[in-house]
Amino acid sequence: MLKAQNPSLIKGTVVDDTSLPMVGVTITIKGTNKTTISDSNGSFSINADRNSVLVFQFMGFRKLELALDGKTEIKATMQTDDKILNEIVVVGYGTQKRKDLTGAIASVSGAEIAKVPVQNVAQALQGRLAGVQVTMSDGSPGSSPSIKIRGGTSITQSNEPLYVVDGVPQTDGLAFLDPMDIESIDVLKDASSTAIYGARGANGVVLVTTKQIKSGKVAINYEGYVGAKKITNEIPVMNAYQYLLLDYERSLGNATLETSFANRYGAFDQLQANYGNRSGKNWQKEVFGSTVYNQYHKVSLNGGGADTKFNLFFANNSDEGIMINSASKKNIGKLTLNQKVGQNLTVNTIVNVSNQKITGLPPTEGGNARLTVLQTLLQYRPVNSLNEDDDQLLDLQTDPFEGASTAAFQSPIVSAQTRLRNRIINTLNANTSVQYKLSKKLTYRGLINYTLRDNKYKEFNEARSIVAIRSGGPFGSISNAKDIRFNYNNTLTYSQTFAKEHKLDVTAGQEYIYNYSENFRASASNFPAVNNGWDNLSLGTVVGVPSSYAEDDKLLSFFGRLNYSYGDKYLLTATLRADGSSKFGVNNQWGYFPSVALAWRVINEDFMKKAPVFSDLKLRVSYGQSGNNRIPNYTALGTYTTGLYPINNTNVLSAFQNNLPNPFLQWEANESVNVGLDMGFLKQRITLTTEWYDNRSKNLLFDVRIPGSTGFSSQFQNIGKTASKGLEFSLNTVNITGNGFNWSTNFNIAFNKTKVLELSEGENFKIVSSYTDINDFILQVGKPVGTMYGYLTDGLYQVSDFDYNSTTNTYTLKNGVVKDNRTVQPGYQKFKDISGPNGVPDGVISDADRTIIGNANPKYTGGIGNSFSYKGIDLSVFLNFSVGGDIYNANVLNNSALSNQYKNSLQRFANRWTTINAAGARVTDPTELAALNQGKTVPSYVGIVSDRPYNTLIEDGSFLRINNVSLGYTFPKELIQKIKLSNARIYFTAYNLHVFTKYSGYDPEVSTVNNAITPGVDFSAYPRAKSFVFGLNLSL
Amino acid sequence: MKQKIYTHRVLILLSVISLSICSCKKALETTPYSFFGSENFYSSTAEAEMATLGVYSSASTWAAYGWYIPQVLDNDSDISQISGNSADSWRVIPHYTGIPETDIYSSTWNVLYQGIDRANVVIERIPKMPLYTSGNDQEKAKLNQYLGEAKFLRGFYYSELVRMWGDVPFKTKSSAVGDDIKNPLVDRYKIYEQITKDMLEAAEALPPTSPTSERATKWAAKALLARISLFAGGYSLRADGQMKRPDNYKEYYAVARQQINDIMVSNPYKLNPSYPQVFINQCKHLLEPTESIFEIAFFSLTGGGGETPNSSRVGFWNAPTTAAGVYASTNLRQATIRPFYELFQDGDYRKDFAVARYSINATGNRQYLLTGNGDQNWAPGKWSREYQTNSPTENVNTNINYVVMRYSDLLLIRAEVENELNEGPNSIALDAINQVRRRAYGLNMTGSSIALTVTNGGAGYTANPTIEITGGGGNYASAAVATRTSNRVATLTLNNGGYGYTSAPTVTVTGGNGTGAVITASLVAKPSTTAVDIPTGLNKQQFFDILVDERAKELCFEGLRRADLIRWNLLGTKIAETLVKVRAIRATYPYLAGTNFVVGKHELFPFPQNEMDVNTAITRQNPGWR
Repeated sequence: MLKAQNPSLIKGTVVDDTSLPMVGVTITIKGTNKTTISDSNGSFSINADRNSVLVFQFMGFRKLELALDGKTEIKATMQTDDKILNEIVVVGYGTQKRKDLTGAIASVSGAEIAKVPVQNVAQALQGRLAGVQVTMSDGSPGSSPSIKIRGGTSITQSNEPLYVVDGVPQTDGLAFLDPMDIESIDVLKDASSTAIYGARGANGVVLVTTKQIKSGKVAINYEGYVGAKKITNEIPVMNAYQYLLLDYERSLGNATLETSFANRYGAFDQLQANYGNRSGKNWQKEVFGSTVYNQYHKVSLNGGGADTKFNLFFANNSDEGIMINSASKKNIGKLTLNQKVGQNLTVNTIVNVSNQKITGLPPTEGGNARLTVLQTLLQYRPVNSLNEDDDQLLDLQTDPFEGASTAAFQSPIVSAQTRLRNRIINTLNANTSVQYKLSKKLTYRGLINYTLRDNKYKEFNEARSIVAIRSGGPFGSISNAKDIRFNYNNTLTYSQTFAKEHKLDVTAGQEYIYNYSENFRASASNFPAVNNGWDNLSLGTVVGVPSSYAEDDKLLSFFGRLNYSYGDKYLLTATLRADGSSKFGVNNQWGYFPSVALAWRVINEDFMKKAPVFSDLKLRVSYGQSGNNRIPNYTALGTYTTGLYPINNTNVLSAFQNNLPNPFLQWEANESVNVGLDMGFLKQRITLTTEWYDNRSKNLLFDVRIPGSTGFSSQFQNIGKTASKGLEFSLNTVNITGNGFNWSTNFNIAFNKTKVLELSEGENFKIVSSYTDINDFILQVGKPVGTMYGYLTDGLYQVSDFDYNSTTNTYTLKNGVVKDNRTVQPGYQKFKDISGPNGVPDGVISDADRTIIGNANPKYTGGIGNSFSYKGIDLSVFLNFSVGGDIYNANVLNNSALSNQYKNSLQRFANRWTTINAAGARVTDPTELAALNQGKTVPSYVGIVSDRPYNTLIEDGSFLRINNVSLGYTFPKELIQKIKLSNARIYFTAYNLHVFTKYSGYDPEVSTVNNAITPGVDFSAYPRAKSFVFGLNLSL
Repeated sequence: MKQKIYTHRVLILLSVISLSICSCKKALETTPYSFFGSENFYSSTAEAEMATLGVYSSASTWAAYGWYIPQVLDNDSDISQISGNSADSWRVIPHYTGIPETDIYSSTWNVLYQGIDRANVVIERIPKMPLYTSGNDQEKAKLNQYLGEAKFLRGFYYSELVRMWGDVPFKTKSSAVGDDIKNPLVDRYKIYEQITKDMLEAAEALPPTSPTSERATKWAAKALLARISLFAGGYSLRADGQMKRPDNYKEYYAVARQQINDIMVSNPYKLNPSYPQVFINQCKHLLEPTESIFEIAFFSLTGGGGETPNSSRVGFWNAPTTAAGVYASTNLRQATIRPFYELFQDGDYRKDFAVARYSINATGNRQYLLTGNGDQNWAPGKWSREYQTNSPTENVNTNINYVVMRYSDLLLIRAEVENELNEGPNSIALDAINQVRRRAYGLNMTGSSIALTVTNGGAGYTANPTIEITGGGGNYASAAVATRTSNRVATLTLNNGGYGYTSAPTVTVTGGNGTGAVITASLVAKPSTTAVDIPTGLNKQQFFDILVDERAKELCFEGLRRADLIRWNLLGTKIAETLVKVRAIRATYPYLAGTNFVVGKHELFPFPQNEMDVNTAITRQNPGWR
């Protein structure tokens, strides 16, 4: 029987905990959808039953429920929800409340990460956190992003931070995780936070916590999305007619080529008529042009009681690449089990199994040659002979123009179809952690982890592939790498509060890590006509020498931490860690990493009561040291490796020193000072965190190039010092709340500057190479790491720079004109003569004329996100940006040389200095040549080669990316309960919608050379796609 | 009670933890599973031998003798050049447009120094081995031999560096921790002193046998020292940009004479009676124990596209153009220069063997390139696919050894040394050069080449018929109809006289729509010894001029020509002369060296930029390079 309705006019006011009236509070009668809003005086009125319950809601405040109990007038006092302040932050070997933090730690919630439809968790961090720079090397499926925290000060191969997942350090990134399985990610940025990770903390630490399990009734959940992807832009190349003009120009003077050109394409004067309107093949469209699909499905089961809780899920993520025949498929299964044993003991076990299969030819495979996929796309001729269909080019195994024995080009489609690559990565992560309350004050925690990672790489080049054609038959290989990691740690934590005001928390711990890895490779070639080398290598009639390798390293550590706070106002954290690593020389194995941090919660001082606008104010100062041991094993030891010397056609073992050992090798040490200020205003509706830091790294570990005359080309050394200084701001605001409509904004921006302070032995600079043997980066004192190095262009050599000899038809450079140590002619690229062997300009272009031409480091990076919600509808828009970093467009450099027959190149070389006139004749007459090329800025087809990096290759990589736009709708509970669902949400997300940039390549966020000192190189990068997904989450 | 339990728990826990830690030192020990530790390496003769072979293996790479040194860095000259004009390093350098950054310079530089450092380690470590002093006789002998091999190779590698770069960084101590890794340039004659010492010491330690493998012998050490002495005593480009030879250059020649005389006393060497067979044997990986003095071993179990360990490009990069089919394909990368072919006299079997005026089609047949600008595509013929074993592993890389020195080289050096020291050719000089020439004309070789005559022109030939030559015991004779008159075969072009014919082969004429043409083959009589020999009574310069040509004809494409011309200070002259000659053939005959070569610069390579950038102890670049 229904209770009789007895509506009365209920009046009331809402105030906050300082008795100030609150505007815009949503008041709902519980169990109904009747709603009202408080006015500017905090007053409201609503018709309700006198026995009903009113629900008060306002963002930033705790939800309040008040029973009327027959009253018609009511006063509600809402309490600030200091959820943010009381939010639990994961720190090394423990957790802390955010308000108690003394170091610089930035966090992002799993909900934010789940909005981005990507395969790799780290990719979803892009732009989210101040000072955390996430760069994808390119857009290839399955590629792992690289994370740089605060610019990175290290110059070893990697500036990657240490990843710790559920307390377990990882060596291979986060690819094994399900992006939807993240509870939170906390990034430790300053050394006072990272020092507890000692030797591995110098580049920052990323702590990932996977979803925690909740007790409750058993629930089945489904999450999933389907989407489509498309290439965003193309690199312009010369069209059919422009290409033919180039090929004609190249053929002139070689009778054979001239004849074959005319036979193929017709007479020169008909070229425009025949080909001017012929579109030819757009290879980028052919290979990258189609729409591809991605999808994600996850089914999970969770539940449990007070003693046993569990969560089990299976997720499948299939991501097709926009390049033909490329994809990444990932399956993850995970079981989490939490068991309480008695009052004091809790055991938590996680088993995560992942399987990833990445298919497709890596776009950089093949180096700077035509055999590299992207290079073929740019260079393969767009057009066929006069009477032949351009479509024939699609299936060409070799270019008939080149002659059977000189094959270098192949249709990029055939290449993608016949050069088969599979990478299969299986990982098993099993950890068990134990928490045992020895007493009220003393807790023991222990964790044991075993990780097995099996990485198989299969490669097969079918008979039709260009590489097989060039090497006389199909060949294939299978290599298998296995990494085993065993890790355990033990900590004891003692917590005590003395005299109410003094809180003490002491942790002591010990950790041991053992890494073992081994690999094996088998290969075979000269397969019979069948193309199944992967699955039966024994079909290959020539068997390669199998190879195997094994190595291990160990890390033994002891650490301690002291947290002390007085009156919730003054906080102190001090840590010390001792790490011993097997990678270093016997006398340098141990490193000690201290840190100390102080914080003052000014907000809790009495005088702050006079400034009620503040809801939080905290000042933090920290200092700490951490280290870097990321170098290959055994570099401190001299080892002998073996090779072969084939005496009388029999392989005999030979042996030689593998490396020039350096037993003095020691830790790279990072010292950092951090000053942070946390401010909250208007009941935390506005929060602002400001961080200033100064990081200094010394004893930098670097594989230094040493003179070849030593018999070695490089050696690991501790070579110098770098500094990285910066400023970071994170601002969160609640712009509108109440009325059912909420709008909040988060914004972060980070300014960073790195600088080399010192290099070993007083050396001024060390030059390094990136994608080929060309030296194109420099480490120089006073300049940032990532400085690009090369020549400055100075226009072209003009006809007037030469004396012309009409009898021999030769041009000789006039005296006084800058010479080049390579012979030059009119129309050749001219460089600026800025120096010489004695440090002054010498009139000759040589290596002494190289200078700084670019800096890969952005001036600032950041992101801005806006979230809107109204009733069940939510909308979020997230943009990230980077300003000031340079990109070294190596695609342009590699395609600068135009002299090779049958090779197309970039559009920018179409309007080049020409050596032929309108009639198609080679021009030698100075007057005609000069007239023909007035105002030309692009060198002639022989006027530049690709072994000298120059300044105009360097482009501004600034960008603003519409990273993702997501629109969702959560169905009302009343509606879905009818179909037995507890939760249902649908959403639509556009990812990588648009990039605003001046960069001429595919995407300004690129770094294809995986090396800390050569960032920002764009060479054969796999283009990025934009994607649109539609998703659904359901809970039973 | 409660307190006690609590204490117990802590104690148990702490003991578990401490047990798990054990000794810190032990906890951090690792095993280099896949390597030998350097501390206890050299504990047995077997390990010392492995290390010694490691010194050899630096040479068995593309950067050293598999490709770059003989095939890239010894081009372009007056006998051969690299084809094409695109920007590959291996084209840029031979065409004299390389710059210090061009990568091949540093690859070769580095690999030679790598070999030197490996040698230095062996030379330091072997004498410290207990077995070296207290082993049994056999062990001592072995170790002594390895020491000799290391010295031999160190001397050889340094001689190559000095030949190509002049003054170079010089160290006879292995690179070790804490060394100053920047080594300044050392005067080349100082380095020659050490090379001579190393070679003489090597000769003492090495076995006085003719070679049974690619490992060095006493005679190889002496023969190479003879050759190196000629380089030391020859011209080289000095820091001031001048080509000079040392004032005491004859002392170096005397050293060479001494070495040659030592060898000749117990002469272990003999020329193979057939010049072609020398190279056919190389192609088939057969060791030539009496003619070959020292070889770099190449042999790779795997085929494949890139560089596999110990893979060679002899017979791939310097072979006639071959279409894939019967044989694996090769491109024209190294071309011969027509005037060089014309230097040979008729009857010299080297002429049509060494210079392949043909390409090979998919059916394995020779296609002669005698018309139009076909001569631009003539290639070295010594390592043609036709002679190779054509195993599937040799499609791109081959297993053909690089022969550093042959006996005919030593004989020609002997002739040169005697002519120089004697101020004219003596009988020793004449005998030496004539041994080489008699072999070249096949005087001791079985069989002859053939000549053809048109016995009957036939009738009705509206097109040129094909001429096929079979039988007779010989090989490679080839001819084509040159002209027809009134549809009758009138004259012939003999593409190649072939060799090894012991009886007149059968000649069949097919096609051309006609009938009745008869062509008869006859053996060409061998010339007399006197017709082949160098006449007596020549003066020093006349004899020297003959020698300059003779070395080209005998040793062409074996990686020595450019080097020889530099030590004679003739490179610029020869390139200029060649330019005139090829321009006379055809205005468009490509010869980039002719326009790009700079006297006083290109006689030495630049110090690689990679080295200059980090080795600040090198304070100058070679002349002309900046």
